[in-house]
Amino acid sequence: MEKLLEIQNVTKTFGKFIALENIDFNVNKKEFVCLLGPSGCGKTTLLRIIAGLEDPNVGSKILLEGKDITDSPPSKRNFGIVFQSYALFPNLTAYQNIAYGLKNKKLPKKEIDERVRDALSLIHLEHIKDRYPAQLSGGQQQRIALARALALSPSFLLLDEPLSALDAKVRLKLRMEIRKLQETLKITTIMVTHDQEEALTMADKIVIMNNARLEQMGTPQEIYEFPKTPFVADFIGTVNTLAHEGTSLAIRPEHIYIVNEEVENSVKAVVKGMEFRGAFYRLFLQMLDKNKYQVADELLAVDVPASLVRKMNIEKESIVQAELPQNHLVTYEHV
Amino acid sequence: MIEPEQVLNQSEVPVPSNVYNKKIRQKTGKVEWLHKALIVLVLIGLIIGIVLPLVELLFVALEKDGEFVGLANFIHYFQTPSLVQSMYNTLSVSLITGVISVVLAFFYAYALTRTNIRWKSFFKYIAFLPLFAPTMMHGIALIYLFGNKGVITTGFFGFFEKVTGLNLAVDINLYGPIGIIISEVIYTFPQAFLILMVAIAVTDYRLYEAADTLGASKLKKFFTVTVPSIKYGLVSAFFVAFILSFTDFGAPKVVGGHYNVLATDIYKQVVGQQNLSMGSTVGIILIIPALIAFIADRLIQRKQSSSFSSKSVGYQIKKNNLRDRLYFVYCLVISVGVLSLIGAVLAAALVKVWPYDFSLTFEHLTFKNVAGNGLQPYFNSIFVSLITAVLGTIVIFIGAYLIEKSRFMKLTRQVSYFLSILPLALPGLVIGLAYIFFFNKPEFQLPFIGITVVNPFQSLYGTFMIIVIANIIHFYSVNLITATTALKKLDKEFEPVSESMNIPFYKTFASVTVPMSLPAILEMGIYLFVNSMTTISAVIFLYTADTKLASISIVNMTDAGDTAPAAAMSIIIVLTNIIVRVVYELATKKIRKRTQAWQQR
Repeated sequence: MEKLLEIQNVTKTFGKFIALENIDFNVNKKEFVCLLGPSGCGKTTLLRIIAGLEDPNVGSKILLEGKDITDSPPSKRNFGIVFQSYALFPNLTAYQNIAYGLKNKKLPKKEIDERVRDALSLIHLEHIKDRYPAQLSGGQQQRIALARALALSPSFLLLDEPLSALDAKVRLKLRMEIRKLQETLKITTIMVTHDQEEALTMADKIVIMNNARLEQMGTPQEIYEFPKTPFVADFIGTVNTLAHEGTSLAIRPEHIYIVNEEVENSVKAVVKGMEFRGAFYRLFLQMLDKNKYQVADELLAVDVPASLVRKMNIEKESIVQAELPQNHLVTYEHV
Repeated sequence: MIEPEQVLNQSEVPVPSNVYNKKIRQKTGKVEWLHKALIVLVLIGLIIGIVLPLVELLFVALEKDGEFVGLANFIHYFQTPSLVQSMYNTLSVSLITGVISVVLAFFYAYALTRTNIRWKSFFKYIAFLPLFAPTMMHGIALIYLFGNKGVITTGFFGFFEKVTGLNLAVDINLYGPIGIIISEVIYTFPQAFLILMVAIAVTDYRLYEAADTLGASKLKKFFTVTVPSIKYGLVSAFFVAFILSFTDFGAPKVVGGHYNVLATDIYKQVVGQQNLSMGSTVGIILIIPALIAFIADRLIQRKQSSSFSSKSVGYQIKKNNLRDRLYFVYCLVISVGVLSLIGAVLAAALVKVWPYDFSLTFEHLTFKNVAGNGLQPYFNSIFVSLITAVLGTIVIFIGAYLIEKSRFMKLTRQVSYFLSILPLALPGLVIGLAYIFFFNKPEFQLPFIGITVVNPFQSLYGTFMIIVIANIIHFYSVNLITATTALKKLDKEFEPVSESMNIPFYKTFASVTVPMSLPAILEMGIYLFVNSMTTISAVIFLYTADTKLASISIVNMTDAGDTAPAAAMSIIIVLTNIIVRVVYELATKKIRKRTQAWQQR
């Protein structure tokens, strides 16, 4: 795969505070990368450094198609950006907002018009082109901001929490739309988010950050199935943390099975709590054999299909056998 | 692609020793260069307009007859009983003014926000009326009401006695502290009212509902909910009233009599005795309390910001007829007071010889045979005010924009911000005095290197331009705050987005920032105009025979005993300001409506 952006050894300090520490990763062409992490982890700072809006410490390097752009001003980096607030110019119509960057390029009027109309049709908003941002819904504003960023055909797209200001339903819809648009245009995209579900559903590659550092990087599947650190395991989805013969283990609730009889790697446990979650129940089990595994939070969370719960007649205080399959037990090498 | 193992290692790398603060410097293109140059220019402008003149003032205060004498002038000041007396006078007058003004303004603001009285907008306009007049006018009005031949002092010229048989004449001993305090209360009332109105308006009603459910009495609610929630507003209003009256020159000049205050002392030292060193010394003493109040106010305002959230609920006024009636009478009394001041001045300007010949005349409006040079000062004032409004708005707004919206040169911008806000603590008299020294100096001796530089600004001395500059600096801070507040409302990502599209900052400034901030920009212009029309303190030291302003001619005329023409000039200024304000309101209605529509989310 061809590299578009190389982030090398990026460090950023604000006085004594370390915002980013030796961040290294590449972004391939046409790839959708999510920078994921809790608030304050440095992901937005990293995005702003990539954009050239913040200066990283000496020693950091950013390459665009092999060319060093670390000291280039934003205007020379050729990217489009959508902020959480969209930053649409309130006194310009949707059409004028999209045309804003094109006009400055001294393109012929006809071409500007064509490109604005193309951008509008891309996001299916031709009918609202003459409205002001205040007259648009949140989702529409978001798409206009996206069209504005794309109108200049940038070499990559930066999205800073673009969905977090929207309500849940619109967010789900736009999630798909943005991803579809990205695939159609084949534009390299870096998106900052704190929403793990958003990252899992949209990204080709997730970069998980915590406390100014890069914790783990990989495809959504890799990250979900094989979290490398307790932080990642805990941040993405729910996880049980166990201790077993001195090593630390993790397993997700849906990977634990309730079985009829004792098998290899199964433990006897009593149901201490049940939560109905629609399609499944989340059981909280207390292990009867406390020597085999030590559960960090006392109770082991297990997701069981609702049909199975009914079939097996599981209720509070039932005694069950829980199987912890070897292939789903993740061992942390460094804890 | 980096292997997972490699990534994992990241988490255990210790903080490397090469993590140091040096940042990569971005290459500077033409546009960025221009941007940075403008930021530097703002700082240089502020240094020339504020810092250097103040340094010059300090130097003069530290010398006597051209010799450096250290703190000798200050020591002499504090050893001269008459001078110390005027400091004591100024402090007591200002403290009393602050308390009275805040108390009066609080109930007035309370009436307009928490009761159902009628005529609310009428009362609001009346409260702002004193802002349109020079402070001398309040003094002149008081002379006609309470002076030796005043309406009230003489019991309506004996009319009351004739009708009722009672002697209703009251002499309040106007000339002296009483006259000054009344004038200053009128002068500071609108400002205190404005601050308190905002403070009371942002109270969270949920607190009152909570107090109600807990069975709190009215008095208890007042002291446990109302007062705590507006205490910062109360303190702020007090400080503002205190500083304004502490540094005011106009009112003590007209009704002070033999009661000396610091502001009149400076004037006497400089203009009367030509003792520039002592004048500067008093000037610096004048700054100190103002500076303390300014810093205290800043610290308090910083605390205030967190008390009101977007979830807060607006106050719901309950029905209470008795309360409404009482507050209505209260507002009416204050309004009648304000209107009678203007009425008295208007009458004085239009009658032949007060109090002997009450026939109407326009003779005083011609300003013939008086110490005021006819109508020329009025036209000078209009000219200066217009230039100040236009130039000041442009300079201050661009300065505020660069400080607020730039991502370059953070330290420079912070220094500029501090300097921009500093004039809030600088009395106009001090600015004027500092300007005499700075702009009148033929050359500067650069410290430590002994090089002499010719003062390039000396040519401004004695021109209208120096008055304009003094006005702009004098009113800089208030307008900077107006501009900054408007700019803060704009999305801070407008600039990065534009940069990402390779659009120079000045284009976005012109096509987005300015149109979005137009109401604030126009407000700044009108503020500068109105205040330049009425101000006296900064310009009293800077005018020449050719550049005399209307407010200065009022002082000259009262000095010469031509009170009626002085009253006439005051009225003309007030009318001009009211007309300008009304025309502004009508002309900008559309603009404000449109901007408001854009700003809705």
